[in-house]
Amino acid sequence: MSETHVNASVPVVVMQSAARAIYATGDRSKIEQTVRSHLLLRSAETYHKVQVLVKHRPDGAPQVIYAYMLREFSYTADVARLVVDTHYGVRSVDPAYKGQDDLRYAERSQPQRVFAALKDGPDMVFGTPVPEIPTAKAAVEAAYRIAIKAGYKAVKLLGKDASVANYQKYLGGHLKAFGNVGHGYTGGIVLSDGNLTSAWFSKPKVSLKPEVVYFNSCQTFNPPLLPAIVKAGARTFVGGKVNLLIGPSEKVFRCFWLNVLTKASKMGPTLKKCESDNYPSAGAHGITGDLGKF
Amino acid sequence: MKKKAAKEPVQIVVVSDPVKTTTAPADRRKIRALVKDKLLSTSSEPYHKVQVEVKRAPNGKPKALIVSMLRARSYTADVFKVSVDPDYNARSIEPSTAA
Repeated sequence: MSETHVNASVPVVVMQSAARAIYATGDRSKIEQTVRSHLLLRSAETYHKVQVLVKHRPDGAPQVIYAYMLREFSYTADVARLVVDTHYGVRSVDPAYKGQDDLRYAERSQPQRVFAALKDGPDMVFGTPVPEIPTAKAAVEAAYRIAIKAGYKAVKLLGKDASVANYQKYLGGHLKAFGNVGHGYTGGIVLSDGNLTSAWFSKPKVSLKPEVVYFNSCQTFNPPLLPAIVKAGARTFVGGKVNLLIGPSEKVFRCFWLNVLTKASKMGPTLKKCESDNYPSAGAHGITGDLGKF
Repeated sequence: MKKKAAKEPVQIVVVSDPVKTTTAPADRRKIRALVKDKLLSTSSEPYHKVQVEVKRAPNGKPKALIVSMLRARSYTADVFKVSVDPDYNARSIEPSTAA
């Protein structure tokens, strides 16, 4: 019996672009096949629909395909960029595209709904790549609920969705706050499909302004990750100075967000108090940057 | 969290590369055997899960494994870079903070 990929029948819609109102059937077929074979059938994510925009060179030949991949189970649009030759043959694939210049080009064209979703993104994101650890999942869900109740737009990323591409997309999205509960080390944090390391935070184009970033992850409040996050412009960074115990550390995480988001408590003293109330040892967590009110 | 019994095997996940082809089942078996033999069996630390990323040379052959070992009792990841030959035999193992 043959197996069918979960994305085998996902509709691929070729949008009207700035350079071309309609595409010939042959071109549409090539574009659809390119998107299907290089993106949809290689992804473990389940998609609802893919909207495609083609950027053309001045002579009219295709140059780049932008694919706005709308997920089946969340309001997330993954943006991929494929550089193509004149016959839509793929030269390179960026499955987690974040470049702004080309998005501005695309914005002049059709898929306004997708761009509205990207622009009007969340204020806060909370995630864990290990939701099978009940206290990790509960802490993320609690922080998410606290944020919503406090009037912020929030997103939670659990399990597979706590991926490197998603974390990069949201961390680089000028949020107000970002919280992660999961394993870490001095050089990064472990996500569902790889590690997000200090190397990414050190890239000149990465800007965390004006985010309060809290990694409930061991050893992350140490070089090389700590200086990389500070240099990337985080307003405040909270992380584990030493190894953080599963169980008590999530209580500190939850206490911190509850107090700074709903009681206007200052972040520095709040972390200290939450740690002394909920954690067996003092000084396990570090905080740097703005220690005042959220 | 459910505690793993002493002999309960730790889950070893070979994470897929979103661009390149996924690692073949036979190669995943070799990777799991290497991780068990060279890292898990030599450690007294209980682990929740192990994630492995395969770093490849431009010709597609495996060059190194980034092994992230997630501890069971804390949010600590012990990360190792294992240099391998094309048949996934370990050449060297070193702790990593950069991977």
